[in-house]
Amino acid sequence: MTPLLALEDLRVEYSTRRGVRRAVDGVTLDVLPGEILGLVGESGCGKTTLGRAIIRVLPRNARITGGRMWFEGTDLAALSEPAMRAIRWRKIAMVPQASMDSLDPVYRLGDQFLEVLVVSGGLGRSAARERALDLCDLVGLDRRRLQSFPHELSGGMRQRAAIAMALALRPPLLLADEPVTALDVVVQHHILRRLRALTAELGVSVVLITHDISVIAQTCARMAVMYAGMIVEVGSTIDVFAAPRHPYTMGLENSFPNLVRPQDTLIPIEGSPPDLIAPPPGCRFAPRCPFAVDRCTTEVPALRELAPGRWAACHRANEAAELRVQSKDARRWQVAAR
Amino acid sequence: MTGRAGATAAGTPAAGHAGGSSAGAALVEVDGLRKYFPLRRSVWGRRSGDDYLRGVDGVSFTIARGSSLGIAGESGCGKTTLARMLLRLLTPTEGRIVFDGINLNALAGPALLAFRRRAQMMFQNPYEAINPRFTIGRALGEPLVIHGIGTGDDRMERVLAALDQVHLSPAETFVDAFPHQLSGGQLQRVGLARALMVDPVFLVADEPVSMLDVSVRAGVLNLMKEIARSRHLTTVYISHDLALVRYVCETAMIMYLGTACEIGPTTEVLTNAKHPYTQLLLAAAPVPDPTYAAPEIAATEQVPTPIGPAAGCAFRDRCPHAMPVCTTVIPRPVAVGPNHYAACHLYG
Repeated sequence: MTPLLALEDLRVEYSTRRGVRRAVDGVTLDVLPGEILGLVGESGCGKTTLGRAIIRVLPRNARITGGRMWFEGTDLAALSEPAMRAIRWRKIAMVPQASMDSLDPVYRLGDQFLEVLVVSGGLGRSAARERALDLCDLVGLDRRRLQSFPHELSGGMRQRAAIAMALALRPPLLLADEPVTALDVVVQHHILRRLRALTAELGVSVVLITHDISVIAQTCARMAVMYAGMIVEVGSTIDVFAAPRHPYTMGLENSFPNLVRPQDTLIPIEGSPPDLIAPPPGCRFAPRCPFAVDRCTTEVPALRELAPGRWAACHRANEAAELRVQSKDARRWQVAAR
Repeated sequence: MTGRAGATAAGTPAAGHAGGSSAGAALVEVDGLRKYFPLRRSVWGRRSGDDYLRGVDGVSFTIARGSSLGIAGESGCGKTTLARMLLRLLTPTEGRIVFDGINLNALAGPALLAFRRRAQMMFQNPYEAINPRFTIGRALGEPLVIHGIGTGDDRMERVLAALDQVHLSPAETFVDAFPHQLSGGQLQRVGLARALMVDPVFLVADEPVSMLDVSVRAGVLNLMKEIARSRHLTTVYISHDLALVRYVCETAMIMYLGTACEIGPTTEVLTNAKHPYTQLLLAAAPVPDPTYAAPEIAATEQVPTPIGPAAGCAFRDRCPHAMPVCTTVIPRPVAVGPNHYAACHLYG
């Protein structure tokens, strides 16, 4: 299948007082038409930066320093700002982190919808009003809520409004950064369901950025795992959970509590992610990895395709099944931290 | 304060395996606890009788010595308010808490300070809970100074021992560090160490790992479990995450809009849930397994407001089993199994 978006060796750097921080360091990743791709990683791994790079809304001290972002035949990384403006909202929209707090508090919800539809979308007022009502139905928001001010809505309703607003101009690609993180589980459940239904109804592709592997498990058919600015594993969600190929993914699964099949012991990943201003040579996970060998500390492992659609960046990926068994032993991980 | 609810929760569901019903085994006994927060309707501060928010609305339970109680529920259910009352950081509007035979409401002066030494809290956000201008050594020494424990060298010994106990080693390097130099997981270990400095018997942890990365959460949770066991601590663990409660706590209590819906042994409550609200939470909880088929949920997500007087069951508007009686009579906790109680009219 031809990807809707193809990232090739994408690099994003932040210039900070301490030096250059390579937040996204050579990311290659495809987003397929009509899929929800989960992008999972912990704080500081570069997942939010990656999302913001795609729609080109990076902070002032950040810069795309390399790579390409192919979208419908054009390289977004090379596009001028005015040309990019024509793509934002219309072609690629974003539900930013804490977007439920990003609505303007002094305007009624309906007026905020109209502004997007009329100003960015070029719709007439009556067409825009029709579309706003449709959008409410689409995300499961009571139509009467268009009369409301944001403070009159619950967190879940505001989050639905933010998603509706991002979908206002029917973009083929939606970037959703932690769309359910601050919400209670019941609301979370409903919104993720809605998101899945939307991809089916509209054919929109979604990149769902989250730290929560349970959200990915319940929502995404395919997932990518990010660590310290790099993609370390890609595959179908079912396969990544059943047979992880990268020790970091194994560690994430070992440390995540399961309510339905509770573990006797949760195994933490000892240590902390590296400083991306001066990352270690070799594999960035090596200092925390229980399976690191000499080669891991000198040579950066490339993201390799191990089976169709299954990618991992680990020198020992071929031994993954055996490492997976060993990874269930908590003592192995403690040794790694020393 | 007007608006006392018509029916008080009778009976005191017991928490903890260790035969919670015998009063001698309980460290904490909570009876008919209420906390109403007054609301101001006008800028002039005029209050009418109904202007209050029912933060905690008639909760009774006991906590057995050495046991761990998990309190779970959605945001706004009153779990943090309840935790703060347990430590007497808030005073109840009504009802009482008896801690080791002492009525907390009556505490003042030196007796209150003595209680504070025995009961400690661990906070959600370690970056806010620990003074950024204090070194870790000073942050940990502060409780000793407040309670007049030890002197100079002896205090430093205790600080180093505490760091060692939470696996921050070598302890000497952490003593002079500032909070911003530590990772979230390390700083939350400092938060735990600080709570333990005065050698408490009772520890209340309010969402202690929700700010941490998933891969380091497990380390902090394991440490809390290990320390609670080795020190025979009685712990209360507040969380919105049922999977964490299941991992850490022997007893679980589910709260909804200020009321306790269900309480009992954790495995019982989470595998044999009786209250429709517990069942809803369980159905909605995300599971880290792509082969798990999440059940359909019929309930609306809209939580009613806890303002004004209570009538009937707090959950009735969202409950798939709501009956006429649910709108008029507040359900009392009913035994649905050994040490397992549900406040629901379905069970009599």
